[in-house]
Amino acid sequence: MPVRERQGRRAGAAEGRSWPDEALLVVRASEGDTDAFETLVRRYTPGLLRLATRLLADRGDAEDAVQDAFVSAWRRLPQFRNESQFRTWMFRIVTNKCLNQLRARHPTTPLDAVPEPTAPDHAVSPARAAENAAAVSDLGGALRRLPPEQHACWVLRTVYGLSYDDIAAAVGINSEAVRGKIYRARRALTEAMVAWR
Amino acid sequence: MAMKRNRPSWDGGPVHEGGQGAAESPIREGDRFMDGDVNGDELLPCGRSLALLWQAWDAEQADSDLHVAGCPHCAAALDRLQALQDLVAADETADRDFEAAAGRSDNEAFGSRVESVTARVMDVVRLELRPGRTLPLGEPEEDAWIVEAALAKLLRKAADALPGVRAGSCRIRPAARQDAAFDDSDSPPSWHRDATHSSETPNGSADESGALDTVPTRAVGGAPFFQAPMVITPDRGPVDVYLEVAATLSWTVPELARSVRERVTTAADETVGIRVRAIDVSVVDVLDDEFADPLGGVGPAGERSHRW
Amino acid sequence: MVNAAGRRELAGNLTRAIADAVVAIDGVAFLRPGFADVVRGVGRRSTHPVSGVRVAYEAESEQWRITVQLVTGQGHRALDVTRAVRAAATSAATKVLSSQLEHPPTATGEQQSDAGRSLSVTVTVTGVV
Repeated sequence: MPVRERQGRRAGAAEGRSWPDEALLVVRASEGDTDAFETLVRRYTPGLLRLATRLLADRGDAEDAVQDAFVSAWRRLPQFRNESQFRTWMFRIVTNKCLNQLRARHPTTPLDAVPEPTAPDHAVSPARAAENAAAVSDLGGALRRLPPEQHACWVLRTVYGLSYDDIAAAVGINSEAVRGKIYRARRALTEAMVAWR
Repeated sequence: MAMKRNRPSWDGGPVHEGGQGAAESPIREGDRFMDGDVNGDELLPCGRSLALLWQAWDAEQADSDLHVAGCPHCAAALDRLQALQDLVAADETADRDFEAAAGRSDNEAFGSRVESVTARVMDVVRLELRPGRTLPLGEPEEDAWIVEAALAKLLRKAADALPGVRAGSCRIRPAARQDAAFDDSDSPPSWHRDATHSSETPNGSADESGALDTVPTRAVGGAPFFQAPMVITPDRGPVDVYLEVAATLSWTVPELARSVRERVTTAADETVGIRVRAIDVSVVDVLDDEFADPLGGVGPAGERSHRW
Repeated sequence: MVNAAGRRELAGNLTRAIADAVVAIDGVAFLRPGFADVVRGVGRRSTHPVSGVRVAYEAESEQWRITVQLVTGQGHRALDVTRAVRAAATSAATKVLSSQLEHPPTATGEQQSDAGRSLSVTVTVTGVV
């Protein structure tokens, strides 16, 4: 993984960068070259796994979502015409799988039953983490209470810096709706924050 | 680059909002945003819409608004959003520190999750035989075949072995199909376009007169391609290869086409054992010298375009 | 005459014998894995990977149709591998068919060649590793 140098912005493999050999790898994979596809899978799994873990707050579900996404990508690759970049395309597919999972989960799963997110051990950066640990954990709780699409839109915008148009494509709604959902997510989260303080 | 044009705004980077809303002022009375696109939008005591204020902040346009600069209500609302953003940033930083520093074992744990997902994906993928052509190996009377994807992989590898050359698309068709009765619509569009430009036997010396000004170029071995309809069973005849390559500028197109044909012809004979009638080489891209190393690296690369 | 159950058993014997003969050939990386192999666990090649071998009796032509799908290793000429596979599969199948003949082989040579004539072997390279 490249070192991510800027605070608040992820520069991992799933976003922001492309490789000069990507077009060649994608065309090879679309013609059935499994080695080329494996290179793409290795390249983008870390970033996509982080995204899915963030959205689903469950490691096993996240791994399943990424696996399913790559398998359907493999099947659809012969029709992939480079109208978007491969990683953008994968981002969409993973987001979609996660949303389906969240929608299926949302009405029936009691909130308490949702596992804690895979929050890092804040002992690593003690000073900063100590004061934020509780709040971050509460943020996770507040996030899980958001409707799935609000949650997804907010994460894609705030953590990954996707444009409204890209979020709209990933979530499958129009960009006006994305604006609305991000606004409502921010309302809910800032209100929750006020309550913590 | 789609991903570059829109950055989260809290990190101070430039924001170029794509699409609609880029030019219009985000804070405007009567905006459709205020007309109910956002249910439950809230008006601040100063009369401004909270939704539009935050949207402007997101697009880094709030600072340039004179009202916002002097309004305590707007400032308070922006502080709340900033606090949320700081929290996310703290979360991200801790996440990053955690991965980068002490958590070596957790790094390994994440690495092993990546490995496990990759392995599971590839297990499924390798199992799935892509529907595609099978092409004849050996003599016409033999009942031996190779699937197009496997053959393409071997032929690409042969082209990749040339310095500064990387193969992309590689499609193989039974040559007998040039017979009108077998004219298949899925052959590459350029397939017949300039079939007469460059004519040579796969092992012979090149006549590059047609290769100087145009790609793709085409090599036709043996008898004139169109005048000699195949008499053997069409699906057991020789094949045509259509190969796209990218190469560094150290190559001239004719030299590149000739070298690629040589390599592919040799590989078809020595590593596969399939009879090839014609090899169509298209140069589709230019490789920067520094990126001309073999495919499959996982390091990040520069952002600049390497396309013509 | 062999009845249906007997023929099914014979097909099973043929499949196993051919698979064993084929995987032993230099240049054959493995037989094309089937779903059963994957749920059993890819990488455990010791389990019998027979899904790359199909055996069917065609009553019309009175022929055993044998289909072998395999993955070759790079560094081996694909055509040479398929030829070795054909020879090995034919020989293994002939041995099985001869031993299954109802009458003890009084004229072994003739029966062996009968068995050989009643086979057709298709070999397909589905991948290269």
